[in-house]
Amino acid sequence: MDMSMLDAATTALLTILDPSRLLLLAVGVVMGLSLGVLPGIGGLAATALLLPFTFTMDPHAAFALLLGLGAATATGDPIPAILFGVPGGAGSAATVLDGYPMAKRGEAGRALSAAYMSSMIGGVFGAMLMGLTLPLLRPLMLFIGSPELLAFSCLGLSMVAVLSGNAPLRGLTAAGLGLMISMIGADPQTGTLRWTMGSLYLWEGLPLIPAILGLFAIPELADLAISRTSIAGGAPFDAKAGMREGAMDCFRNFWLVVRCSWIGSTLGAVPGIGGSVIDWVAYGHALRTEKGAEQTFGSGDVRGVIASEASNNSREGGALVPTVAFGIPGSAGMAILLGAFLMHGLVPGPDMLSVNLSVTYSMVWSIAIANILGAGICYLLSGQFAKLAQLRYTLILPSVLSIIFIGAFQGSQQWGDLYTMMIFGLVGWTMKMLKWPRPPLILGLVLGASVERYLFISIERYGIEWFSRPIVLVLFGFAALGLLRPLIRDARAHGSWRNMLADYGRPAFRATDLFNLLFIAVLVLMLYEAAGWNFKAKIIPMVVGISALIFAVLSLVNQVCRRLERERRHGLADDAKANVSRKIHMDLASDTAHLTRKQVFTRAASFFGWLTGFLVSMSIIGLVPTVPLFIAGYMRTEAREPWRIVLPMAIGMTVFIAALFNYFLPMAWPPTFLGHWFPALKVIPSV
Amino acid sequence: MKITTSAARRLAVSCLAVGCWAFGPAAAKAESVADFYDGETVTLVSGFSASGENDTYFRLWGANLGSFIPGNPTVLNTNLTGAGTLIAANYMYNQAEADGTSMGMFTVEAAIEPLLGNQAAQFDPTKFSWIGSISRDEQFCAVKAEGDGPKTFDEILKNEVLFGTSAPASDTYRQTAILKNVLGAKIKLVSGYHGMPGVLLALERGEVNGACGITSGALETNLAAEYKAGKLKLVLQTSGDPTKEFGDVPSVFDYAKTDDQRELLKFFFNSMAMGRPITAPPAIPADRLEALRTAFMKSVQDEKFLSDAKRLHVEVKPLSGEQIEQRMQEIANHSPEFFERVKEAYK
Repeated sequence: MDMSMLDAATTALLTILDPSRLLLLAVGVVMGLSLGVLPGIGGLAATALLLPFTFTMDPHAAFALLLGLGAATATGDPIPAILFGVPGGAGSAATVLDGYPMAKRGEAGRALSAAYMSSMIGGVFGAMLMGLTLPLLRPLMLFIGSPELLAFSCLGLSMVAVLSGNAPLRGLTAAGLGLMISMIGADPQTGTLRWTMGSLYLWEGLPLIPAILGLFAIPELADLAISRTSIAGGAPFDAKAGMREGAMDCFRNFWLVVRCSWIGSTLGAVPGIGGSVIDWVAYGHALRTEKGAEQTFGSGDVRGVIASEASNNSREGGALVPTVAFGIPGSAGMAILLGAFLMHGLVPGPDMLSVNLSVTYSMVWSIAIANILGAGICYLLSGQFAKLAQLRYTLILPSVLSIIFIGAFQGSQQWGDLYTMMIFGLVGWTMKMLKWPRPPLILGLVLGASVERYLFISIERYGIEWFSRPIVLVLFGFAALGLLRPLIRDARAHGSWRNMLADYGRPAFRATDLFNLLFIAVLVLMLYEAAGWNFKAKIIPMVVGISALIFAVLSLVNQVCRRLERERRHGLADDAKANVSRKIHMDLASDTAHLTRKQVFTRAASFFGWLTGFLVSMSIIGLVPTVPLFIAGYMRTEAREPWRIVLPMAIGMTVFIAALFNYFLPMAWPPTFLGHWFPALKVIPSV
Repeated sequence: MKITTSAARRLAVSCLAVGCWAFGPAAAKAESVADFYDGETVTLVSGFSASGENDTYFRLWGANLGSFIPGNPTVLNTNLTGAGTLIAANYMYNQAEADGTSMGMFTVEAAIEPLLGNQAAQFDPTKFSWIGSISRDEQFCAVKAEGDGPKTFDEILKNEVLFGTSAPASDTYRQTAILKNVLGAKIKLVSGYHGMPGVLLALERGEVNGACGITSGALETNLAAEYKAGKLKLVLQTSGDPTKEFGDVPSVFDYAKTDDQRELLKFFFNSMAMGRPITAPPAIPADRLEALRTAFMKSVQDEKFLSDAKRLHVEVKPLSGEQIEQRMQEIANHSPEFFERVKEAYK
């Protein structure tokens, strides 16, 4: 670090520490935290809302406010992920995997504390890495062309292998389906409308937030409704001791925090890599490199929480780089920031790294300080938060569900968002019940579009040549290693490939195989429709679809043919095999085993019935009036909760939602039947 | 969203009480415009995502708008994105309250989609209550000044060159395609970049040799360093009325040789010149339409707005609601055969 950089960094720090700017930063942080806690509702709309107000501020203050908000949403995200199994944002989905089981064990305090601490350290380290390397990054980034972006995406995809745990074929099938789903919408080459089913909603592809909420939040809430307990069951609970323990965990695993924060900031700096896979990449990295992780991740290992959250918070520091250096926003929040740049006469590009370096550093500091402030505030409130996991399910479920519905709806403010969440919710719950790993599906869904986009551009622009670029070769090497290593290791453990195949025998079908057949049917249908498109529009979907189909069929064969053999040989398992099978199922398992199958199904049907009821009611009387009906209805019928609890909850929630979404973050509510029949009733919000 | 005045709210409540909800609209008509907007909330529905420059200046404009509408209503913004802003256009036509409390902004390309036979575009562009359009930047095609590719548009007509564009329905893609299909430029399109910033970065790092749809704003921001260093050469300007602000750049219309070509170029580039028009739903009360149109013209001449816009590098070249209405009518008067030719030119 030369003197001018040090100077700029110090000047910037002193500027930011000015009380009035610090206050604005704190305001941003509080807003960011409050929105980050609400599942699905990110800081984007709020940042856009604040933007015009920042035009009259000085640039340091403006960026302190905006970045404070943006950075702190990531700190709020893990709270619902840990407490309810409901990711607070797309970047916290991986936190659910270990944070939620910890809460169930009564360790919510520890998990939250570990999440804040790793968020904070991760956020600060991510910002520091960017601060130190900033001047080098601009020239470096000019080497990152479309082929390199493609290679980065493929590297992300290779995480499928490790995130599939002990079910590689199911993982590959799910990833393939995710990739296929990511290609829904107008294709980037010919504009062919792929699998849009005649609906405008799907033209620009499936929005991510409703899908993630469906895939991860709904199944956890369904299981909560089915098991009819509080989240933490009867587990012993000591918030304070947990908080200390969680913070200690971070220091015990300090090197992991640092590594994951570097992964987060580096990937955050690569434009075009969706922020929503960064947590999974870091989680996969931890899973692969940490001792014993393959046996304990997914069942409440604090290191899983640490990896995911450290990377989630360091992302924003990374995203700053392309924004500042090229005017290419590294994240959606950064795109809004670009508007603020211009208003303050700042031009993204080389100037930001020379004449305006102190402004750039003030942004880096803002992000770092926001992370510290955010974590501090969370610590103050955590004792209260952690108690939520102790509450009866009927007190938690209806409010959380109402928020999730709005969170999903905020995706693009159309009915499609809610249908998406419902469909993904059903699929996600079934996957969870039948032990299909869900993370690969998300990985495919997020990275699919960029893989296709950059593959085409690479071929169009460079022909075959692109494959020989050095960075591409290195990244592809890593990706291949990541994909093949688990497979090779398993084969070795079995002694040889032949031994691996020895388990196969006569087929035996079960009702659960139907789910596999459903996957196959969906893939066949998608391929059938794709066959009619023009070459450029169909080539990648066909390649991906056929591969996914092969995996799905193999997975079915595997499942059906190994079943009897495995049962027959039970007890004969040799050491090596025991070693392999110790690898865990890479996802949460349903904890409804104590119930009969009939109980599970009737209660699941009732849960999804409630969700459907919400939608029907929303179409008739609007979303806001549905909230109190839903909350009161659920609490009264499911558990006969006394009115003195039901009424304040129903009314409080409704007022909160109506105020937030009418006066602060307005929405284009869809028309309702009630509003159509009685126009005068449109005075009621959302009717 | 559809919050009405406190007066209307009281009226509605009392109407409800006596079960006479049908009188609501009739009673509202007797109000003056200022009475109506007093305490009212006007919602601006942007078809663009909250993270784009279009949205930024729409919000900037909205922040100032309230004071120019009689009754000084609160103005709030929301985003309804999707299908290249078609979703917002459909919403404004079919669902938004037609009482002057909502206005929307989408691309002019989306507005003329129904004329091109797109069944998903469920509106008649001539029936919208057009309010106005804030700006249209000057637009240019540029190539890299280094290397051995073509350096003028005349050379591009003879030698192959790679141009980057975003998705096929985007206006950058379409205008590049038109140069190729109508004027016979030897352009090879590398499409699918992530929005205009993606195209500009590809241009900067030399992945493509050229690009169209470069705004004067981009020359002052994202591309400023390149442009000032002389690494970028402007080869064509595509705006309706040529400017000398960026030197002597030939206009796209100079290259039209036949009437046929001229008509197609005029259709495309002149409609593009409407920018991102702002509209209210069809058939809103006439006095409110009048008030909104007046407020629009006043707000875009407001000094604070102009200086803010200048800082955002948005060139304010307003078109009135009447002008847009008239242009939409002219566009709609083309024959179906003509629109078939337009569709060919977009391919």
